[in-house]
Amino acid sequence: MRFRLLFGISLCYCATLAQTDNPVINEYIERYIENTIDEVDIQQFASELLFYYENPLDINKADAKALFAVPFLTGFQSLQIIEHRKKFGNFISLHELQVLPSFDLATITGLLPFINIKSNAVSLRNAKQIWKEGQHQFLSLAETNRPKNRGFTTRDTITTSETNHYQGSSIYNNLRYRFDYKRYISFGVNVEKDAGEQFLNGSNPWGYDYFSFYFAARDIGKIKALNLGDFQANFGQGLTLSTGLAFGKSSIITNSKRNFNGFGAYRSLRENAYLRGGAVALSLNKIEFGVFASYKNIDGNTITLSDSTEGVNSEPELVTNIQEDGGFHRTASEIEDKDAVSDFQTGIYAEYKGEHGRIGTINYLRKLSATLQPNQQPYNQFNFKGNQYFKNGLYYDYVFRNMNLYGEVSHSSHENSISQVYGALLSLNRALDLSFVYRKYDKEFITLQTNGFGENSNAANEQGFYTGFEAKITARISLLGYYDLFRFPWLRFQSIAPTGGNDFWVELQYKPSKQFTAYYRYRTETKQSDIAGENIKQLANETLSRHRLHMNYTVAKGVSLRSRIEWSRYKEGNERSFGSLVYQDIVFKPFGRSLQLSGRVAYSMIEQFQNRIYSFEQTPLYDYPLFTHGFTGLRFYALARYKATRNLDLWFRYAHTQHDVPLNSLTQDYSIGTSLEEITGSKRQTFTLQIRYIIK
Amino acid sequence: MRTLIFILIAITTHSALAIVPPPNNALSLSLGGASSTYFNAFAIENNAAVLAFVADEISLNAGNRFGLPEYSQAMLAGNITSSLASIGFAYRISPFSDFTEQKAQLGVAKKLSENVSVGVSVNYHIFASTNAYYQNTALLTFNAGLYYQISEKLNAGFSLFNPNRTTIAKTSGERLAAQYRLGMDYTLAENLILYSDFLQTSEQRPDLNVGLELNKEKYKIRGGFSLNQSVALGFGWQSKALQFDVAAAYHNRLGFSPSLNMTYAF
Repeated sequence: MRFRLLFGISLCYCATLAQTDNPVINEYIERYIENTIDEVDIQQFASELLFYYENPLDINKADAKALFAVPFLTGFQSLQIIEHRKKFGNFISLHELQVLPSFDLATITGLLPFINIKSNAVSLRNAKQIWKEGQHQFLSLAETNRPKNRGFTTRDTITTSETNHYQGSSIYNNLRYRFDYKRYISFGVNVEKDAGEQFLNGSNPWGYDYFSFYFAARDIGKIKALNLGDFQANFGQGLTLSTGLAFGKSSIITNSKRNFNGFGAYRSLRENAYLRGGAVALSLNKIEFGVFASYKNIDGNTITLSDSTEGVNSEPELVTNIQEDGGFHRTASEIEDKDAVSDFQTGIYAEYKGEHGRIGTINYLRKLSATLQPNQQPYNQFNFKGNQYFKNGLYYDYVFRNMNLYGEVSHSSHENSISQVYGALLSLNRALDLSFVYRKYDKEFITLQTNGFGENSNAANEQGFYTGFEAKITARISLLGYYDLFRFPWLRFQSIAPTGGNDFWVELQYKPSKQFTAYYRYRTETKQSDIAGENIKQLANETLSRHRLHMNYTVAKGVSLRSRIEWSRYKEGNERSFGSLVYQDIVFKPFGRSLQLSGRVAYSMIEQFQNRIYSFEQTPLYDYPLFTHGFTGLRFYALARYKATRNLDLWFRYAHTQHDVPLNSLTQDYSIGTSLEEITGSKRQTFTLQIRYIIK
Repeated sequence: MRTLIFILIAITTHSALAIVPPPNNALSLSLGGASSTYFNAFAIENNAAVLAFVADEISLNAGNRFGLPEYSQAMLAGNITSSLASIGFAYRISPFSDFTEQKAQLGVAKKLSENVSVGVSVNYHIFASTNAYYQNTALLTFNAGLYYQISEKLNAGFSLFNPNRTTIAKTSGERLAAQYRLGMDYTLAENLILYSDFLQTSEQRPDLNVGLELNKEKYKIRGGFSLNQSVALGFGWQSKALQFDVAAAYHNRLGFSPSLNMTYAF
């Protein structure tokens, strides 16, 4: 559960998820997640990216759906591949991609590990051969922070069990086993214990707090997908059903389109964001259909209604909220909420696939053992209430020449609400690509398990129009960005009236050589929210603007540098505040591939948390790479990766954060964080160790 | 109520009393307002220096703002080029039930070299108001501009409007706003041009307008946006000397604004 980003707290020491040694993957992850303020599941994301690294896609055989699903290909690149194949037949060489407007030599070089033009014929023989030819991977990560925060220090000095505290040790640990046979069969086991959770005692007598198993087979004969255990389901544009990962707006303008691919293996450690049971999808010529059923327990804050005459509990139970992503079970109250609600889901989908695209429908039903009844506030009075709902969606994805049209309209049983999104990707010519999205989400729409595109991913109470562009000014210079205009027809949290806003992003990229790349980025977003501290609530504009200058420079073989300067300005009404960050990275490979050292020194000056700045750090594989500079002070880390043998990799990371103590605060009184996360002093250290063993 | 709506519009769109030119024609509107370097007769208001490069033409615009029947405008603009200089003229009327603005302009632009020009326009404003605060007022303003063709693909323009901030209400000393614009256009491809204007209006926050124009034989498609929370779309059709352009912009709080141009080149 370490991959949860909690941006509401005053300091965010997030940990988890993924990073790799491949620079293309790392850059891609950074560009995807840096603008996402929702919870980010990097493990699942990185697994999907690495999947292409380990199982390159045949671009001659892949259909439109498969091409659009490749994360490293933009929608425009996929469009051009499809169009080229139609006109000239299969690619003879990957370098033939150079004739397409969206591909230059550097782009192709970066993509080479993930695509090919060879046929990977399925050769499922017998279980023994599959076991032998597949790859086994064992991975374990442990991490701890010093000094301990209040949740642990309270436990060490506790005098009464009534005192709120963390019940387990301060060590985070996970164990992962994974088997992959090419693109076709995979299964694995994941277990995890968050810092503060008990191990082999108390609420976790079996050891770890979280257990997950999955089995997945795909593209075997008529079987499109077969999933047992934990799996995910994502369809259309994410309005009707999406349990997986989707990101918001970013410098990858084609992110506005969801390229979901139905059922998939669940390899993540998010503790409530999966389906558990079975799913099967069959492909019969142009028709594809599938069915799934899931039953699991999820965390929720329950209220049991007592029968006063009998003195015993009686139905129904209410639950004020259910955790779609939660997973911390450190304190007595968190443990009480664990698995409090049983959750049954079942659904069916069908798709028609033509030469130019597909059209499909997804229908599903969800039934909870308790009635969801949020604590009612004016802003959430239209939210779903009840213990059962169903949703039906119709989606399409159509490719015509240099244009890709897509969309989804979804109906939910709550007040017969409708959400809809329609988009277009246009590759006008070699110079310009455009992306348009219009969305209209009803305020009553059920937001559970949705991933709609927009300001928020919950696909409710929002209307907006998005325009993205990517212009190739010269071979070395590109200009890209987007403009998004949006409205919230009903109140939102901390907005006492309907509001609106806009978001503008522009980025100038300069890539004169493989050794040096740089970009300048400007982003400004204006929204409205309540003026803080006023008794009579009024709205005020709040504008957050950011400037960033970033450079990558390879100084010698095995030595590369990264430098960044970033500045942010936050304005609410007439109040202004500022933030800035400067950092220097070095990556050093002294002995070829066996040892890699990397490190960073960063200094940030942040006047208030709204000015916080995110940065992408080098971490062990699958560990969370995004750090929040929400303070004034120093941050540095060092990471060593050692490839001990052909099969064994070790990572060790040390990270240090040091706040500048204000002059009016004595050092011994200074603290970081709040509540049980509070630590005494101005320094914090994090130690991470990871081991990976591969059998292939 | 109408007055209230008008004030809301004026404040929100930075066009207080129509002093600061809003997108004044369909072309400009469809490009999100980015028009400092756009060639047409309405350049007399957007950047007078551009008139030196504009063909002789006369153009009529009719537009409405935010669907309010009381808030419409009509504008006539023309341009004549001689070997000495280019002369531009324009007349605009914005009738409102409680407030009517008329504006007459006379401008001159001159090429300093093959790729540089300057221009200036003198503007006579008449404000007729039933409101005791503004009453009836007439005043003079001017705007000036510079245009530079940096390369075959890149052009830049700079214009300033009413830099001396003419007083409009003597009793309160209220002044007309000044506005500065820095605009550029870049030819991305043979039939594709990107326009952008950076605007600074006095006592307002900076604004950015961006637009794109795609030409396909007789047809033109335009789209744009403004950081002032609006998006726009427009179409054009041209046949020899005659050209029609339509545009609509959507403002996040105030709604739709349609606009229509009819242009004759001679």
